[in-house]
Amino acid sequence: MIKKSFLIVCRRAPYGESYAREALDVALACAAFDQPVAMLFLGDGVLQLSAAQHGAAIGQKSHATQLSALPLYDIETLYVDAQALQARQLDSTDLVLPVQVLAAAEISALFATHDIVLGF
Amino acid sequence: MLHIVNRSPFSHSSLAECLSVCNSQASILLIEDGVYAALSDGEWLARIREKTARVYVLDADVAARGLNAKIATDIARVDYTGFVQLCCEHPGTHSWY
Repeated sequence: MIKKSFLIVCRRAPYGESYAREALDVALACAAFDQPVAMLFLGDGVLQLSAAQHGAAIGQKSHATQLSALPLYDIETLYVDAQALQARQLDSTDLVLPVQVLAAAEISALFATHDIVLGF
Repeated sequence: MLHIVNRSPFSHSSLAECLSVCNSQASILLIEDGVYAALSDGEWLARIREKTARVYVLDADVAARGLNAKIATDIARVDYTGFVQLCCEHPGTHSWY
């Protein structure tokens, strides 16, 4: 199968809408077909990675716990917008997985260097 | 990359997040409620122009909202054919919704 590089752009907080879950489903589907996948967390999307989540409090699985399974599917390239983290009083130590914290200019380049860019 | 924004910048963060990752090579096409960002002398138009000179609006969405006289005159207006053409001319598109 031809390989194309995928960039999954996550811009929504978990729980309130289904976008976060759908992005994860797509990422895992891509990985299942051996496609190289990277995920980029922008805006409220960075909240998906917060390790302090306790989804059980509202009867849901914790989104961060589900994201923590990504390395099992060989999805280990996770990019996070530095400004979005800072605005939400988070830093990389608050997150459930190791990430690459990027400045805006570095994020611009990601859009050009991946074959397929999908937004959620 | 052609960035397509369909939300009003006054009620959604779509355009702000788009602009945060745009550089001068980027093109921005405003459609649906996204066209409100192109109001002449508006703060959002100024923010767009800080990033890129390549900004387009979908003419039908401007007309539908009664904004013909309010959109900055030097912004390129495209029809649906022009929309398709822009998509073809760029190496990729990304929708910010």
